[in-house]
This record gives sequence, C-alpha cells and structure tokens, in this order.
Amino acid sequence: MNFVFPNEVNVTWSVMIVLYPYITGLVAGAFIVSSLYHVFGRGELKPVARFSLASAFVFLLFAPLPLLVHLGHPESSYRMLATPNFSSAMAGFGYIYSTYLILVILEIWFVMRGDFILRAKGGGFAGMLSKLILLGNLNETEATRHADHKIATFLAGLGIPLACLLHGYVGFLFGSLKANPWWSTALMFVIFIFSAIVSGISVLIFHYFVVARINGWKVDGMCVRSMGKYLWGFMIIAVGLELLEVMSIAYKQTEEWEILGRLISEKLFFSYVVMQFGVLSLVPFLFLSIAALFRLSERVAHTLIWLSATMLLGQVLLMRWNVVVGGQLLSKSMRGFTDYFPGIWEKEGIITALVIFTAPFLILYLFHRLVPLFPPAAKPAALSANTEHQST
Amino acid sequence: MTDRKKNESAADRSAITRRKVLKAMGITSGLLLVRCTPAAPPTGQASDGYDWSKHYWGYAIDTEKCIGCNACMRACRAENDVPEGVFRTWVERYEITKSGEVRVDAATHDNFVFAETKGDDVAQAFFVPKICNHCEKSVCNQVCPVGAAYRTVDGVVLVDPEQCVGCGYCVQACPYGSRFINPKTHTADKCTLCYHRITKGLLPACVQACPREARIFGDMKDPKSKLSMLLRQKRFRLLKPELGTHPKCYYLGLDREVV
Amino acid sequence: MKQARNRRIRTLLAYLGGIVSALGFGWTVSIGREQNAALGVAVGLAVLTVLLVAIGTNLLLTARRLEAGEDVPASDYRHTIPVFAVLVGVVLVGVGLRGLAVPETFGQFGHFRGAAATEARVKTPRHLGKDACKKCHEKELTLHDKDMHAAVQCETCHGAGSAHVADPKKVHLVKPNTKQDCLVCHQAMAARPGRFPQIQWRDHFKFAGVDDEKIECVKCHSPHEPLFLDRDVRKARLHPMINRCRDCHVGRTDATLKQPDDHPPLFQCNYCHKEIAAKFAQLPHAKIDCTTCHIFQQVSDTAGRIVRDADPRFCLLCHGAADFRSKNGPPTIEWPAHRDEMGSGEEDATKRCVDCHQENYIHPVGHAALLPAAVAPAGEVTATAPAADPTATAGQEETK
Repeated sequence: MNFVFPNEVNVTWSVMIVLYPYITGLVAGAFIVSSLYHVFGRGELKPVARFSLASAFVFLLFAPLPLLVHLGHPESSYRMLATPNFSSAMAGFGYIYSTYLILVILEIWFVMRGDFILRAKGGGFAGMLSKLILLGNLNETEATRHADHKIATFLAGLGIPLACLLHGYVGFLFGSLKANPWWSTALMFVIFIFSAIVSGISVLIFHYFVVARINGWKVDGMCVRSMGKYLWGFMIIAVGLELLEVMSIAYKQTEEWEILGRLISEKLFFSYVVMQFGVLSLVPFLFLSIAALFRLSERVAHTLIWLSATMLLGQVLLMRWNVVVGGQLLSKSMRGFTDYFPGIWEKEGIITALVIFTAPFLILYLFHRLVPLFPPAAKPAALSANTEHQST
Repeated sequence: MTDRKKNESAADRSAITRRKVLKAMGITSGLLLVRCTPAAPPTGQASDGYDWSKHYWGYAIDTEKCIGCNACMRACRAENDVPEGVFRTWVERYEITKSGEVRVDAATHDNFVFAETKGDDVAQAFFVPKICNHCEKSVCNQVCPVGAAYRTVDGVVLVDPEQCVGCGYCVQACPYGSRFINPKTHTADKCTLCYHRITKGLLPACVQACPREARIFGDMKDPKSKLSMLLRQKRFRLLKPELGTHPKCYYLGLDREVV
Repeated sequence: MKQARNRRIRTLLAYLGGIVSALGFGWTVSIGREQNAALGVAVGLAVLTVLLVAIGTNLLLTARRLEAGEDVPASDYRHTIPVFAVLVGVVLVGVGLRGLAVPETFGQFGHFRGAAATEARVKTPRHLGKDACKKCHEKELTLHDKDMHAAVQCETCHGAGSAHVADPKKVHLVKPNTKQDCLVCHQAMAARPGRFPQIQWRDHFKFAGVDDEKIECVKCHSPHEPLFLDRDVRKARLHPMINRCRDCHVGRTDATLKQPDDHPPLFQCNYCHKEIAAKFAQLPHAKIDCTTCHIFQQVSDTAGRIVRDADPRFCLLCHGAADFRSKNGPPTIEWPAHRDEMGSGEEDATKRCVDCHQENYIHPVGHAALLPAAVAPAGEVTATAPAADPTATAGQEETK
C-alpha cells in the first residue's frame, strides 16, 4: 500500500540538486589531478596539469549556479554568509566555497603568471585583460618564477584538504539527515569524496580526448594511461564503498531495510541496480582493468579508457541522482514512494540543467583562448596523429 | 502633513543607515569594537502584555476521538491561507485488514473529504491527525543555514519568511513531513500553532474547529491547563521518539502502525 | 650566515604572527557570532594564519638549506604583494558588507531575527469562536448549545466568520445544507469511532421510508439541534435508544411508512415505559414532566443519556426548606437533618432521597419496570423487547 505524507508528493530538491554535487565533484576531482602534478610531482600528468586546474576553476564558477536556480529566494542567498547558522551542515557552504574559489584563483594566478605576462605584452583586449589580472605588474625574472612556483605548490597542497572538505561536506549534507534512512549514513561523506575524484578524472579524460580530436592533436599516451590507472584505482574504492554501504544495510535487515529494499527493487531498480552498479560500474571496471593490466595497442587502450571515463561520468551522475532523488522518492512515513522526473522546459528542468552543465565548457574554451591550456608541444603532433589514424 | 511624514521617515531611514554604516566600520576597524556591541537584553514582554516566558505551548491528539471530518484542515487553510497542494495539518486514515495489511491514506483533494472504502475486510481502523510536533530539539532549526527557522521561548517552532532563502533543507530534515516550500512565497512554511491566535488567548484554528475535541491545546507551564491535566491522567505516545527530536505533540491511543 | 640569521628572525616573527592570528581566530569564533561580523573577521584571520605559517615555514626551510651550505635560488615575492593586498581588501570589504547585511534584531533571542516572533503575532484571527456569533444569533446558539452539536463550533460548518462580523451586510457565510455537508462527519466509515453516529444515507432513507433521494438531511434534522426531529414530529428529544431502532423494528419496516410524517411521534416516554407512566400518573409527582428530572444530558463527548442517579440537591430545588417558599407548595424538609433523623444514626452521606421515596412518591424502578414494556401505539409498529430477557415478559406481547 503506497502512502506518502501529503507534503512529500512533490519532491523539494529537483535535478538542480543532483547537478550541484555533480559539478562540485568534478571540481574536486579535477583539482586533485592538478595537485598530483603540482604537489606530488607526477610528471606524466604535465600535459593535463593546467587543463585540469582550469577545469576545476570553471566548474567551481558554476557549482553554485544550480543552487541559486533552485533557491526560492536567490536574491537572499547572501544570508548564507551574513547569518550562517553553524549547526546547519549547509551553512558552511558559503565560506568553504569562497575560500576554495579564492584558493583556486590564486593557484591559477601563480601557475599561469608567465602566460598572462606573454598575453599582456601582446596588447589588444586580451592584453588589457591579462594586465588587469596581473594587477599591472609585468616583471618576470627567475626569482619571481621561483617564488610563484613555491606559492603554487603550497596552494596546491592546501587545496587537497579543502577539495575534500568542499565535497565531503556535500556528502555530509545528506549523510547528516537522520530523518531519511536512505541518506543517513556516515559513509556518505567518504563515498562522495571518492566518487568526486572518479568524476573529476573522468571528465578530464573525456574532455582531453574530445579536444584533441577536434583540434587534430595527438593525446599524450603516458598521461592518458596514468590517468586511466588513477581512474581505475579510485573507481574501485568508490564503487566498493557504494556497494559496501548498501550491502551492510541489506544484511543487517533492520526495520528501515523493509522500505529501502523496496526502494531499490521497485523505484531505483533501473537507475541504481542496472545502471549505476551494473552497466556503468562493471563495464568500466573491466575496461580499465584490461587497459591497466594488459599490453594493448595504444589505440585500443585509449578507446577503452575514453569509453570507461564516459561511462563513469554517467555512473557518478546516476549515483548523485539515486542519492538525491532516490532519498526523496522515499516517504518518511516509510509506507511508500512518490515520483519525480524533471520537466524539459520548467525552471529547474532538463534544459536548465543542460545549460548549466554546458556553460563551464564554453568558459573553459574562452579561458583557453586567453591562456593556452595545453603545452605547445602537443600541437606539432597534429600531423602525425592524423596520419596514424589514416594508416590504422 | 504627509510631506513632513515622508521627511521624517526618510530621516529615520538615513539614521538607520548611518548607524549601520558606523557599526560596520566599527566592526571592520577592530575586534574590540565587535565585542563591545552587546545584544539588546532579551525581554519577554510584548507591548500588549503577552509574556512568552510565562507559557510553554503543547498539543495533544486523542486519536480515539477523531472522526476524520477534516474540519481542522479546512479551518487551517481558511485561517492561514495555505496554498493548494501543501498542508500544515492533515488526517491519516489507517485501515488494517483481517489479513494484516495496512492501508493508509489522507484526504488531500475535493474539500478534504475521505472517500468511502469498502471496509468488508477491515479488522481495525482509525484516524490519526498530524501536525507539526514543535519539537524541543527540532531538526529543522538545526539545519536551517540562515537562521530563518527558530523556536520561540514559549515553545513554538516558526519560520521567518523574511529571512528564509527557500533552500528546502528543513523540509528534508523534518522526520514528520510537516514542512513544505510554500508555492506562493517560495519560502519554507509550516504549522505555526496559530501563533497569532494563541498569543491572543485564542485556540489554534484546528483545535477550535474540531467537533470532537480530538485536538487538545494548552499551556504546559500551567498545571491546571486542560493539556497538563490530560498528560497527567492519560498515557500517550510520541512520533519517532528514537530520532531524539523530543516532539511536543502527544498522541493518546496511538496504534503501533502509526509513524 | 648573517643572511641566515635574519631569515631566522623573520621566521620567528611569521610564526608568532601565525600563533596570534590563530588565537584571534578562535576568540572571534567563540564570541557572539549572531550579532556581529566576528565570522568575517575569523575567516580573514584564518587566511592570515595560513599565510603567515606558510611564510614562516618557507623561511625556516630556506634558512636550514642556507646553513647546510646549499645553493638556494633567490625568490622575489614583491610582485605577489598586490595580490595578497587585494585578497585582504576583499576579505575586509566582505566583513564590512556582512556587518550591513545582518538584520537589525538578529540574535536578540537566539540565532534568528528577534522581530520575526513579533511579526508572527501580527495577523488578525479569522475564526472568532461562537461567542462572536452570540451577539446577533443568540436564538440559534442557545438551541445549539443544548444539543448534541454543542461541541461543534459555528465556524466549523459556516466557515471563518471575521469578515462577516466586520461587515454582516455584505459578507455572508455559507449555510451548508446538503447531504454531502452532513456526511462529511456522518458518513459511515470503518475508521470512525463506533459510537459516533454515522449512516449510509441510502440505508437510512430506506429505514425512514424516504423514496426521494433528493431530500436533504435538514428536512428532518435541524443542524442546530440534531436530536430533535425537525417538523411536526418533534415531540420529544430522542434518547439513546434511537441508536437501537431495532428494539422496536425487529422485522421489516412497516411498508406503510413512506414519509417521516407517517411515523408515530418519536418518542413519548409512555410509548415504551407504559407501566411506569401509568403508575407515575397515580403518584404525587404526576403533574411533572418526565423530562424535568430525566434531563437529556451530555455526559461524554458523544453519549447522551437519561439522568437517573438523582442527586439530593436536585430534589431540594423544590423540597428544600427556605423562607421564601409558599406553604401551599411542595412539602419541604431540612437537609441533611432529615436524613439523619430518619436514619439509624449510622447512615452515610451517600444516602439519597430516592433511596426511600422512589417506590411510593416517584415511580417504581427496577430492571423490569425500566424496560420498554411495549410498543408504539395504534398498531403501526411491531415491536418486541429482547426475547432473551426473561424479566421483560410484558414486552413479548404484541400489541395491536
């Protein structure tokens, strides 16, 4: 018998709130890739180091947008900063987000100062803009470069815990709600961090290949393989944790399993069981395992990694969906479920979601037009890449 | 005359602004100044003589009396302009069949009249009115990011519509489904226990409308109030006490099936 | 080496700055965060702390490396000063704006806008309660308050009244008078408490011999005094036996009863309590109406009953000695002196008038006497008392 409390018939948190942890996850993941290079010295990631940092920045710019679209009074959102109630998991968002945004901006400033100086000397609108960003100081010596490098490394190090905080906190936001058995688990925090890293690496791989294909560049084999391995490792942890969570609830067979079991088998069967765990976890796991463990031709390996990254992007999106929407489908009366699917044209609908999700890529392109994100070394390979494709 | 009024109010406003600016400057110029702006001393007495420190409002529901007429819902909506599709209070109907199946529904449409059910297979049936529990440790207050959800000294959980940003976190946090986002104001909304009535000595609209006195309202600080007497005489149950919210809506004769 | 010592001093200063900032951070967070911009300052201080600690560590490491004789490449930080200046500026502006953004009474009573609680009280109530109706509708209200709907507020059926009270000529309240309106409460449902009066209206119509389905409940039942049958048939208040129509109607309802009007007056006491009525008529109280003593009284939320447990004070209303009483009136006594005189001296205070005077002054009591002896008059209704009850011999005869 299906019963939901009358106020639960329409879900409160729409697809925007699915998008929000998804985008912050991309930020955290992308930033960690860039930190792997800047802090941990993974030299093979150099080709995507700036690309990942810039990706983190643009996604970060758009992370609060779905929230603002969702808010009943976006014009009052400054109150999150003005009168934050720190007993709320949500109140920290403004401060953590602002701190992190400042940190990423500073990191970009220090990492790319040389490029901005080059741009600034070129004149034109881009030159003016670059000059403004540099605050008028165009001096560049070995000593300034050294200082920049030191600060950038420090900030990148500082950014890792902050990235985890920003995203783990999003997990905590759900995990701390005792009213909802589908959310209320301490693991939520950890799961969100790891799935964030998975989605961040995935979007970089996905986008790197797309950009390379569009421009006719050759992707850096070492770099992609390395990212593939990281992706493989992190996805095992992420999916492992997700499975662990649901299995421990299922095994314990507590009162709440009566309804959670129904939620999984009735409402979320396709999106959770079939897609999130079945197709979009198992297949990438197999592909990435093959790519990591066997010697394959570069083309096959790259295809497998790219496919896995694309599927894992979907997996993480579905994971967010299943958490955010799944938790709201479940009535707190523990007696039934409501229904939700976003409308296409409504304010918090699919089109809005697509626009919000596409916008960072456009900004990233503009960013790239201002300061090139890929080391120039990648460009001459364009011809050879083309010929290789033709020959095979 | 009106001009002067305008001028005055303009002066008032600018004074406030100036004070605000000064305050802000003080704050920015040093921590000491920050510490030296004390809060206004809390006073309970309102201008009309209502002293909120002298009351502590509570609510009881006698499920054995409820006839499911939903007069409470209609009264609540008329009193508080509750928009369609959202509910500050509602009544649930439980029908437990001979085979042990539990059917639950609520009348949320068509003037809130319960549809007839066949009832041949019903072994036990009853109505349960639901309302905000005005918890002593309310989760909705805990999770409100901007301080728009609050508890008054006299024990009523309220929303400040001026302050609310409409994030919906409180709606998610309330274990009882008592909160909703008002589709007209786009802010969180909920039962106020008719705060505008009870502080004037009236009963909440739902309590007054109930033809069976299934809803009982009273001051728990007053040992002679109807509620206090009832709570001493009868045994009651709370909803979801295991969540530690310390709800303040006491249910008499509540079946175990009700959550 | 001198360079290294200078660096050491600067390191120390940086660390000291860091520690002071950290303490300041803790301090600002701990104080009245509701009222002021302490938080903004705290965030600024946190940034400062991190920066100073970073600078200190950097200087310390460089000094070490210099001491060890390593070749440390020179760093030039001067170009970073504007950046950090902008950063500090942004934080300070943020702090200042935050001071402006905190509402006036925020934090007065807790982490909320103090004025909000006052604003929540402002609204004018719309349901005014039945006292507000009394001014103009006293007649209806007096009837209403005596009857089974006494606990039902006027506004429960008629809707919120404030607008009507403010302008009675323009704003009119609803008069719900359809079957559906009554059935909101009285539709039979499994979940309704068993003792609450509830019907399937078609069955009820069938019972009452009403063929026209368009007839509304209010044709017979006045909503203000539902226990009366409205119209000519209202001869007496129904008493709880009405819930057991089958006490009379054992078999099928007489087919001749098509309209409510055809039904014999419901109910006069002597229709059922024939023997008691007959006896009563011969005893001193004969002039008094049954209902004078047997007040239909609401003893619980729904159940009404005929009062039988005579409280001596009720008798004393007429029989109590008082100087204003006429000598031609009913005989008077002193109470409780009368009780003590008549008793053995050990009588308890629970002794009532009826314990002695029932049989010969009022009417006989006892199970047999109280049972409905027979049925309605004039052969239109067939009735029997429960056959299983051996004491109800009179009831087993059918009267024609």
